[in-house]
Amino acid sequence: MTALSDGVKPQVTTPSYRTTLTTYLAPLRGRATLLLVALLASIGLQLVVPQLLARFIDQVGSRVAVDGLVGIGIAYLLAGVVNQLLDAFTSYLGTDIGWSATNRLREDLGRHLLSLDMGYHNDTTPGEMIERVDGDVTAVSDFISRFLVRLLGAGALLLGVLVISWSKDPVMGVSLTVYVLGVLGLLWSLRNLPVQAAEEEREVSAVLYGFIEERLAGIEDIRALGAGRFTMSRFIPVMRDYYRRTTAAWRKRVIVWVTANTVFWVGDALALAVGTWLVLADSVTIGTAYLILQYAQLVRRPIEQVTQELQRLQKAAGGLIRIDQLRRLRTSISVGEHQMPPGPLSVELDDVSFAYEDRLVLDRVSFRIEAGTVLGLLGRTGGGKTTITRLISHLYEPTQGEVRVGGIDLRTVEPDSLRRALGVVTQDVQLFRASVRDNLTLFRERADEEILAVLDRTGLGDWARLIGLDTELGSGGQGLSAGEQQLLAFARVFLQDPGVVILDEPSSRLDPATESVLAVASERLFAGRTVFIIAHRLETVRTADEIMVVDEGKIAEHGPRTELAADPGSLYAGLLRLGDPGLLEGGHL
Amino acid sequence: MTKNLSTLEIIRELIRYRTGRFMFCFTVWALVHASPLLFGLLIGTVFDRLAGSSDIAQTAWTPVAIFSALAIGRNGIIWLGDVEWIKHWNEVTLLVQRNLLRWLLEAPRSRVLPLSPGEAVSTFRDDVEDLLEYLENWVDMGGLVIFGLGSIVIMATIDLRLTGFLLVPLLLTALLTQALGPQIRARRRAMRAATDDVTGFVGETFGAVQAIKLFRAEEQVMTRFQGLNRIRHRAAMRDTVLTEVLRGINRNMSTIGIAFVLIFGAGSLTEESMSLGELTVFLTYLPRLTDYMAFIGDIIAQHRRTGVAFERIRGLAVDARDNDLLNLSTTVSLQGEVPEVPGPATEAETFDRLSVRGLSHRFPDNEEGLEDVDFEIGRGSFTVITGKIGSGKSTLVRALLGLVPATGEIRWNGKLVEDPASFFVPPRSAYTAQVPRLFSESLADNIALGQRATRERLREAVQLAVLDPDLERMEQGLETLVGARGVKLSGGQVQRSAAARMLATEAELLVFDDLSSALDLRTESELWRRLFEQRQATCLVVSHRRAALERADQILVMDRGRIVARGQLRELLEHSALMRDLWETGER
Repeated sequence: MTALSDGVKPQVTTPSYRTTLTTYLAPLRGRATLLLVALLASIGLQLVVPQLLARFIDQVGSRVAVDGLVGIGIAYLLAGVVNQLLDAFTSYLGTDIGWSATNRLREDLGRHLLSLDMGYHNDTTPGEMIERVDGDVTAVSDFISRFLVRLLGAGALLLGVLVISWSKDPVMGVSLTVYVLGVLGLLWSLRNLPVQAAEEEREVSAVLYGFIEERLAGIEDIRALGAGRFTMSRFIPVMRDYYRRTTAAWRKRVIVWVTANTVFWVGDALALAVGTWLVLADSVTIGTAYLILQYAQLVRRPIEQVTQELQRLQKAAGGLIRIDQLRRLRTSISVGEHQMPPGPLSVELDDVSFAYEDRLVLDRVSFRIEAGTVLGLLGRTGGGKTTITRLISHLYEPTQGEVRVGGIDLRTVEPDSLRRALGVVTQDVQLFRASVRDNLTLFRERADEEILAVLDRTGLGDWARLIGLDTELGSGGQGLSAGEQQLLAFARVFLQDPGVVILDEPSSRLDPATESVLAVASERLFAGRTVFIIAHRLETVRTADEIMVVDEGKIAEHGPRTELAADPGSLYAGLLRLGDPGLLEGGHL
Repeated sequence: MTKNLSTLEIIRELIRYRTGRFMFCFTVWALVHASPLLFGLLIGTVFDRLAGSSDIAQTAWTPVAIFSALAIGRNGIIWLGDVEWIKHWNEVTLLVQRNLLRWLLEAPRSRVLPLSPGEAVSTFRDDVEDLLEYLENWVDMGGLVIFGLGSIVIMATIDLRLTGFLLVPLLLTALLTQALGPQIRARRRAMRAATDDVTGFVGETFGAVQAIKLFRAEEQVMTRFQGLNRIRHRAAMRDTVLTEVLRGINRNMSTIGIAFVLIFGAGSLTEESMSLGELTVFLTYLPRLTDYMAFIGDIIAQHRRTGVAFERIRGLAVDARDNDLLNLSTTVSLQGEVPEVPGPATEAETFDRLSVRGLSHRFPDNEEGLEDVDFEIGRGSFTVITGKIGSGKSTLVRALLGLVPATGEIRWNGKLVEDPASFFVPPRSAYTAQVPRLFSESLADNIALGQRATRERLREAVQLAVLDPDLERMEQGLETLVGARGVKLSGGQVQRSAAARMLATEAELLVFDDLSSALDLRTESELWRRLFEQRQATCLVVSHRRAALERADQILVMDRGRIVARGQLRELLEHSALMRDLWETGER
């Protein structure tokens, strides 16, 4: 992850993630204490129950009255039921604490990540962000809700069993201690096998299901080109590899499982042997011999839990460290208090350079666009057009020089006022799986009449009335044509009513009819505003006041459109003669 | 069409794949699951002897020794059984997946995926896994039944009344578990859905981070995020509570059972009609019997789930017979040589004429489709289909090629085409979709796509598709790996590669669905020029570009699923207002 666009290397020290943990657990202190108490009570009961059985067996041997035995039976019943209730209660409380703490962590982290520079976000995929905001945090939640409960609980239970064993008989104490430590050591030495197995399985599954998904997505291409048999023959090595590697991975898992099972059953056998020996030596009663067997079985679950949870602890620590690193990243965008004036604004770049990851993208660019001007930006992809618009919308901050909108240096502008002053229609319209209304207002409160009025101006009014503002749009704009998505983006900007508009024209195919609707809408949108158009078609800039051609980080040409068109030596006139943007990828100026 | 197999018949087919191996696993697990019967009796013997006189007590070592030997032996056979079962599981999984994929890619007639590819993959993975899990239940079943019946018989011979008494709570637990099952699954689903909502929203948020920043909607987004988090927290709590309650009931039942034995067995023990060892037999069997009861409940639920899973598999492989999907022949998949892929199955007779009558297609959701379309294409001609967006241009070519189901009559050289889907393939026809897909292999493999194309033919196709300038800039040329879905190429390069892929087939009829986003005008004109100079191909092209329209021998103008005008450009510009409209606003 190349997250550090601001060049600050985070220092990771162990105490820092402890701070993260305490910050989020401290407010839950009350519940955590309650959890601890319930946990200890439950462990106490688990230790007592086998002793009740032992006493029962001893009393049968000593021929006491039936009443005494029945009494033990009833005590056993009560202890069992109460223990179960406590168990359910601790799970409940552990889960609740885990979610309360980590939801706050998720939210803080999400807010923090949103505040980071676009430079950071350009380098990360949404999938990675899900992993950071949810995956890592869930690992931490597991840490809190399960590790604390299970590992602490399991440890305390093991300790209790050993203490009681020592108090009954030294031989019993020695043998159970050796057994518990031995099994813990053995399972701990095997702990990496299941992890490796899981990693290998994930890897080969990704290959297998990646192959299937890709071919299903291309089902029409394959069928129309009669390539079904070929594709199936390509599937064979994928299957064989999957078979070989998952079988091997599974075997690793089985080794651990069979080993654990073997030692546990051998443990039972040993418990029987030790019990027999001690009874024959008259050291303990038969009831205690049965207690040894019971305890040997009781320690199975905590031993497994200790090894599993210690592994989870490593994973949670990894998550905490990553979270902590992220929290140390800072945005490099500076803000101030200046308010933007309303109405169209002038835009000025003064000796501006911008470098991204040591690559100079803009090289000492200066220009001034008067308020109310419509400017067409032309030039090859990667030439610097997008960078210029991102500097103007203050998503980037120049490495050198000053960007002024309405005469004010952007570094001194109050962010909300900049948002009101500047509207952007991006090339790919980013839509949420949310209602039409929320997609237009981006989850802000606006009156329906206001929204519908704006939709009317972009030619979407009838459509919106037909389906209703509350209709949920599919993720990624599913169910909307490219033209409709573009119009929605226009409507967003209309609602905002900014003085400066930046339009990155979509390069995707639109049919002529839709384009003419868009043309009407953009004409309305441009009226009375300063406009920057990144054009992929020359038709789009045919009504622009000025043309700017950007190439290799410099301004190759800038002037009134009519003048440039009339000058046969100008780059713009050359492009017009070619009759085509030639500006698309692969084209040459 | 044969009737669908029942869930049990499906399992029978999966067992038959390797009956011997299945029976081996079945026997191993029967021994493993039934062995606690013996262990319980041995523990009982140990304690009975220990309670006896000192002579008898000395003999307690014998059952202890037998117990130890059995414990080790039992785990030895678990290892054997597991290793064999792994093979069975993986092989059956892969073979069912292969059958399903093969059906989708190779079976006759139109195949429209009823789900998104992502969702279809979850059928490949999760629904097939459900089949296997149920099969695994059948491996376990024998041992469970033996232990269940055996333990009840043994306990009944010790104390019939007490055993009868114990069975009541056990059965109640099993029933309750069964009854709560759907509830638990519903809550688990709700939890998963809530999680999906959260992760989905995080993904969308960071996918749209630029828009959020530009509109300064950070706080609004976070408020929504908090709402989704709260819902998830609540769902998690509901899920935990019910699971815990159920676990409590299950475990408590064995506790209650044991307490019953202590309370109601106390009399028999003091009267010595029950021995100490017999008491421990009860204590050993009860927890395990409760577990097994719950497990049998799980198996019943799994039976139902498997039926649903297979129904989903059938839904994906529309009109496949169950036997096609369960045909587990391993030849040429898990063993044996990977065969050479045979070239095109049919030798094409020279194309002369294609005529289409009354071609219609309806979308399932009542969207406008294709209505009664007629047209003819002659050898070497250039036909352009044009019209507004949504007028049915793509649907027309896809219906013709059998990519979507359609009615009507299609004749190739006068002969009726029975199944367009399997007929319209190279060397008769080839197709480039509007959004073509490449696969994560080398560029050469993507273009050849199994045709045994010579290097020369590939070069020629690349040159025709105007992909040669791009290739020159790629270090590894045709051996360049294009990445998943061709991500390492630009959008235009993907489309030019797809065009090259089509041209490499040397098919008689070339069908292009809109190249305008791949090629700029100059490149497109260049492509048509090269194509006509070097080949006498027949072309059917969806386009609204002048370069194509000007070249057309025949233009079909579409509106709302019908051909509303046809002819050459000049006549159409005179007579069709729609054509004039498209021409005026179209790209030069």
